[in-house]
Amino acid sequence: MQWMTEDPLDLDALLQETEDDACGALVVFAGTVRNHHEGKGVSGMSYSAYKPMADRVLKELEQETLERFPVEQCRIMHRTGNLAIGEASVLVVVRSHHRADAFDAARYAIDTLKVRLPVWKHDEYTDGTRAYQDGVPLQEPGAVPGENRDQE
Amino acid sequence: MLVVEFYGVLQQVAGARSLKLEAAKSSLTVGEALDLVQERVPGLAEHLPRVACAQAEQLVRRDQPVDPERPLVLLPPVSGGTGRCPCNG
Repeated sequence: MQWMTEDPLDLDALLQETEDDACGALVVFAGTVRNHHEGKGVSGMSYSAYKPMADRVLKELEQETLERFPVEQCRIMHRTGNLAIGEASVLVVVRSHHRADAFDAARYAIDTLKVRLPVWKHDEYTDGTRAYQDGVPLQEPGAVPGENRDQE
Repeated sequence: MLVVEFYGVLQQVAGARSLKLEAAKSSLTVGEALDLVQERVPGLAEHLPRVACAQAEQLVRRDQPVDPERPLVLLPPVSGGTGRCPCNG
């Protein structure tokens, strides 16, 4: 099973992998590269990661999401390397019997990923400059994702 | 000797992916190792207070002893975006 990859993310593969006839709800979150950041035009983005730890974090987060919410399936994949505007950098796929649980679980998974996953964004701006985006200090398992949402 | 690895903006500031520390004493805490890193690369000073540290793919606290057989990995703040931010959600 893959979590971090340099290849384009394959939503169809994740949908196939999580097929579950007992589930009536499917929620997909895709994070995509936007064309601006803090008022500057962005032409592309490079993602780097501490891969051994990142793979483990995503694997554990999938399991944690399955244990914390009444959902049947959870898969998360994150991309590294150079991405163009509009390309997906992260996919979260959750399936559950009913929609409310799938929405809640997917939200939890992506919010938690944002504070636990050792991944860094290096913006390429339309003016030719480049810069790493600042962020939040990495948090250990058990951190409440909402605590950082308003600090960024 | 202890190998210290850099990620993200730390690589850019240090101009390298890693450095080797020759410690004056045999056992160091993570915090003491960071002090040595700052002596070697003063430009990292403003970043180190917000850096997370890992060994063997696990986060370690600054008061924990460093295992000199494994790289000490320095992880800057993660740029995860926010629920309000249109970049990556």
